[in-house]
Amino acid sequence: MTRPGEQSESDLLRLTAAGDEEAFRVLYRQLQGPVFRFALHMGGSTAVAEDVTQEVFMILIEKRSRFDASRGVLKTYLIGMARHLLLRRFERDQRLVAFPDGDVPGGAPASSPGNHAIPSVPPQDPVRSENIQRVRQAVLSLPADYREAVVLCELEELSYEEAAGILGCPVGTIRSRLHRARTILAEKLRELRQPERRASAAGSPATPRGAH
Amino acid sequence: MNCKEFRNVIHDLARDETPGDAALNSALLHAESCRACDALLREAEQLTADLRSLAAQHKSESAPAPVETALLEAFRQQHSHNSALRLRKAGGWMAVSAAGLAAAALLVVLLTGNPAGTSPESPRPPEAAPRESNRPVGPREMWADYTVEGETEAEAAAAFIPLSAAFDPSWLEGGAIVRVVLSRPAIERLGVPVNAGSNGEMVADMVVSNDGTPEAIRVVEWQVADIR
Repeated sequence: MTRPGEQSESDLLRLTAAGDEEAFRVLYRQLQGPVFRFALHMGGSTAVAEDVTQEVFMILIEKRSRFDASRGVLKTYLIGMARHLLLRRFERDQRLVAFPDGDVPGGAPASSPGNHAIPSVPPQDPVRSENIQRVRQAVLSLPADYREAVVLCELEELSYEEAAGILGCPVGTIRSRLHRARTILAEKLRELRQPERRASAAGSPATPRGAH
Repeated sequence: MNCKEFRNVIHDLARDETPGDAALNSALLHAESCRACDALLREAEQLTADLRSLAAQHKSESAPAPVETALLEAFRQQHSHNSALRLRKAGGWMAVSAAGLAAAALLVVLLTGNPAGTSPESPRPPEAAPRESNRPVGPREMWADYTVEGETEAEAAAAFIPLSAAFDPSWLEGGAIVRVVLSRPAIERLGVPVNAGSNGEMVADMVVSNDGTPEAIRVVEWQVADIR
């Protein structure tokens, strides 16, 4: 007899639809990670990511018949749903809170009461950890269209085709958004590293003028 | 390859995605001869490494256990609700069938003047029962919170303007009714007709399906724009 952990996604879905709790648990454990991380990187808050993950799987419980396996795999369907919920949140929050960067339309909402920033993993190498934190901030400050491309293609390592399926746009659009996003990221990181370089230059023993 | 062409493929190079050997060689040759492009390529490669570090740091990130617990509880409730619903629907259809048979019998009596089965001619096929009785009896309690004074639940349901063909006011399975504040352009985008003189924002109750699709709307009040 096949155990739920060894069954295909379609079998698990069928069993879930029939009320098999263990099948739902296996399906959830297989797919919650990508959904949660997508929401975390897009929303910049664990509280938002938890809410969105829960909402996505609630919809799966209540409206599982809407998933069409001929249009893609369940993972991309669920991430697409998470995206939809997040965009609605951003739209709503836009009227309530300010953006972290004033010049970033469609960016992630600033942390508001009840929102917890993404916890960083305990640093093993403080310099590396600081660098990763900078990259995370830079990603969060991207406009939503570009941030989606980075989160899907770079952080979740999906193919251009999979990302295009989630975002409902041509593959070429994903590629160009990703290129533009990377260009912006590179510029932002360059700017963020400047003060550090200036500080380290200022901290280094200066050569007194007229010493030579 | 010139600098412009190089910059078009720089992120492909940095992500190890090249359009082909010829393009790769051409790009690398250009980078060797152009210090500015070489520096940009190094920066793009560093970005790839940074993003991979970020991805690796969050690779094992997952929703906390209480989310799973809550979902499993919801799953159990949903499943028991579905079982009850199936029974209710089956009961409903049996009632509809019985009503249909009764209506057919009555029709035969009215048309022939004879009780059903006693006519020498074959009885006419039963006509469809009224549309209302064919509708499954759904959970209507949602409407109870959205009635105004003196309004019945049925009247409240009828007051909603459908935004989706799928909207059925007699059957609200899941979803929610939410109170929203909409600007005039937002209302127009939903396809709801707005009077020319209506300014400001509309406070409305909106029926939203579980997947977030707006299904129906009704105006609660208009808030006049604050003109200064």
